[in-house]
Amino acid sequence: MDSTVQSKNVARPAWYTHAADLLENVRRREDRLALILSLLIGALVGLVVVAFILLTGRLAAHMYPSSGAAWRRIVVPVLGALVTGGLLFRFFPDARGSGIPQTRAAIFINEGTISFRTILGKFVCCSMSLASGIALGREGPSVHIGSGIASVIARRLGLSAAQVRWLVPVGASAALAAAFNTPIAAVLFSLEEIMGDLHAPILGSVVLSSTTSWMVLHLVLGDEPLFHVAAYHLVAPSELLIYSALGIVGGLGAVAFVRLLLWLRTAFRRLPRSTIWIQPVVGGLCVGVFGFWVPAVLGVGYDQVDRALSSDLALRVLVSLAILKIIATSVCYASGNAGGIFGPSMFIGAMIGGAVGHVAHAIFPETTAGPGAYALVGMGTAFAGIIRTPLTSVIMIFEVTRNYSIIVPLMISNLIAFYISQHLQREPIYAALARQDGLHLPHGAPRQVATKLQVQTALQPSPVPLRLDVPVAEAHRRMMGGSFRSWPAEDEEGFAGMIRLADVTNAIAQGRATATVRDLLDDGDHRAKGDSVPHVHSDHPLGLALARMGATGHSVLPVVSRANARTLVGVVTLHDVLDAYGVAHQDDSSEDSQDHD
Amino acid sequence: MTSPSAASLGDRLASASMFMGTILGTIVLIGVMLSLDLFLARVDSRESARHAASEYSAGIRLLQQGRANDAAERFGAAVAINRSNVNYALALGEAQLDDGRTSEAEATIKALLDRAGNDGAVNLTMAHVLEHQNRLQEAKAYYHRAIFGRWGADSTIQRRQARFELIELLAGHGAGGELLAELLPFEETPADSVALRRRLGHLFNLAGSPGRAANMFRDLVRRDPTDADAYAGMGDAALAMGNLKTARADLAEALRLNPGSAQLERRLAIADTALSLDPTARGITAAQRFARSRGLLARTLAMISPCEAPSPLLDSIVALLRRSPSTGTSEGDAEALVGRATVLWNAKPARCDRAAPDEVLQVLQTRLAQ
Repeated sequence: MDSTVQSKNVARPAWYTHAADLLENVRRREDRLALILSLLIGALVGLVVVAFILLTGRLAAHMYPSSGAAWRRIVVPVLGALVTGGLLFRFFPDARGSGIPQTRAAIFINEGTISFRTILGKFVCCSMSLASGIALGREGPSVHIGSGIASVIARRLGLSAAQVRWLVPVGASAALAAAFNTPIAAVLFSLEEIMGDLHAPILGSVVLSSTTSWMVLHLVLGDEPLFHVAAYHLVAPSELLIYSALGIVGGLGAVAFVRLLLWLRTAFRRLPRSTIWIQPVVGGLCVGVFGFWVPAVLGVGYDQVDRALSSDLALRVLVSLAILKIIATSVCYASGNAGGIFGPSMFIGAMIGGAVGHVAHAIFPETTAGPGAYALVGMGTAFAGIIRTPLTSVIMIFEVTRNYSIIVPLMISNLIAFYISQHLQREPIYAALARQDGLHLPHGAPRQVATKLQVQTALQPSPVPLRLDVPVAEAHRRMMGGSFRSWPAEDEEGFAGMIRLADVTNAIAQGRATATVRDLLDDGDHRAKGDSVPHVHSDHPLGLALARMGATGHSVLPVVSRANARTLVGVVTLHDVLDAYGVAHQDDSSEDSQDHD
Repeated sequence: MTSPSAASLGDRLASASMFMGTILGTIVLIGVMLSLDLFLARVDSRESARHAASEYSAGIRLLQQGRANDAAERFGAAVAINRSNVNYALALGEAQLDDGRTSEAEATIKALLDRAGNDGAVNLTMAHVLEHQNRLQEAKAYYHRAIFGRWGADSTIQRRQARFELIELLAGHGAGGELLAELLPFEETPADSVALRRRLGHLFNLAGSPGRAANMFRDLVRRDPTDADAYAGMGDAALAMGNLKTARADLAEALRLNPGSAQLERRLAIADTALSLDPTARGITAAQRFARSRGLLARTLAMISPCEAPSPLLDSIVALLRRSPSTGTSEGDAEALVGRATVLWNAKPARCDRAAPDEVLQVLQTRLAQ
């Protein structure tokens, strides 16, 4: 066997060995690898998502054509739900639902692993489900598919678990850019919702994959925006009050939708496990019955959104579509159909906005824009209220419509809806859905608590600093009289560095009692030279202080002024940091017990 | 035993093979997916275009049946499928206009203008929308854009049609100067266009250019001496120019060719009355001239008194008529009376014309102005 391997190795030509070395080198250089993979993943995910969109649209046009018989609008969704329900139950259990919580679960729980079977299942089941008229969206599934493709490629390349995890949001971003034609919002969504951190270090890769995917989309489908919107603008400043009212209505509508969906999902989950395969039929039947009377409820419904944006729908239609879509989407999702809530959120928002706009325009025709402007703002409002990504929603509406003129009302309305939703429905929808599945994914709240805890909460006055010319013996005497194991030192310009009690004790033990504090600082290179001395500022998070203590071995860190790093503001100790976090101490008397000395 | 370096190379090669294979596989997959997507996009585009065309055809049929609302639905569906097609959006706007939804039609056409601002048909439809909304100044601007806009192969006919629509609008709203400006380009209309010259003749009369109108009708009479309408047009033009005898002769000929026409009889009566009241007529005596002048002033006062508040001018004319004898006196007295009649006529408020227009006086004043 060994000889075989050896002979194989010997038989390889020289160029092959060089190529292998080169590739191995690339694989180990994370920056280059990230660049190459972002491009490849962006292109492939973009193409797969475009195929997904085209297939879904074409199939839908054939399955329930606008001029088709009314009975088809009941039978097709029911049959679609029955078939996809069976497929999901038998072959693709992980392809159920939206895909966003599943993607987050892959990142935070499964080391970035999404199986090829899941991708295939998501593609097939969602195509069938959406094409049959199920009232769900295609964006969440696209994100799951894109993330899955990134995960499969990364694992095939033999990358580490950490690298695989980093590539999953890269795929998600590419998918959303292609599904919604929104490259910037895709980047923001991947960071804001998928990663839960706008400052995640994968920003470059996410941007690259998003733009690549967007270019692919344009190459295949051309430069058409998802929605066509007239150039709306703020007619009068007083109109902002109506947009605020829209924020309240949109926020309440979002809460109603989320609560209904979660309640229904809980109810469906209580049903016997043996009924899982048939449960999606309930969603199909619900949307079919609605669709029999109101065909616009069927499917993704972006053509109706387009009409609402063009002020082309009557008030009665807008209100009925908003209510029916809230119910239909909730039932379809809760019953276990494959599809997302991204698109339905925008649909519901457009209808609510259009309805508010109709009423406002009827009452104040001179000072308000047409209903289309409110439908546009309503889209972002409901999205902010349901998905809870206010920044993404503003940028997304801007990109989807390419209309900048109405951005201020949009921001106001979005924030109001966001706060109402946050107040009335504490848990964001994706977190709540994951929790129903027994998954505890990270979300913003704990991070906010961690960020709120700053160094100033644990700050205490500094002991009188040692002068640099003080002999070691004197320094030792003074340090032993205090409770700190690291002590600040100063010269005529101010704070000069931190000296450890252990270093002083060692110096005395070595017979260097006449040496000065300056000598010890120079020995340990602990004198203040720019940023070289470990320190923190009072507005730093406490976690950073903890990390720096661990990295430097100091249990006491100087807190210095941001205006002048030689001005000592105080000190922060390990004891105080732990105290701020509410951690009990085994030995309160010796706060320096964990000193690395 | 394999040496550590050989084993290491083997591992590296296996790892590199997997790496390279995956990268190459991904690139191949990208190529395959690109081909598939382009194929799907082509199918999608073809089917969408077909679907949009069928919706458009259905809309046209519904529009022909007078079902503008249903037609608008179909056109809307066609537009939603294929937004790049100007005809679909234009049909939608026209259907909305037919259905009385002018603000929706305006929004539709406005959006279309953003894409096809120079399109003649789009601008013409916008003019129609604005005309329906009684926004005439804006409508005129869009008519002009339509006239100078981009049209298809039959652009001359389309432009002429658009200009005539504007002319009809101006004629309907008594915009004489603007109407004449729009008519002038047609002055050199080809001689074989009989219907057009007839229409232009009447429009020139309306625009206050009776000389041009008379030329148009004269040409028609030359070609067809039995054309009653052309004689009537010439008579109207002559009346407008104050050529009372010519007018009477032309109108009498028109009535001879088209006996029983109440309209012609009325016009002829106006000409006859004007002739009998004309104080500038040749061959009449000084006494007749004075009597006609006094009659003219009295008729003018009678027309204006009911619609004009008492004023020093009216009082002075009443006093003048009371003072002046009913017969005799000099040429100078007759001219003074005619002068007062002209002053009173020119000072009359517009509501007098609306209340009880006196066409005889109008004709006589036109003659006197000459």
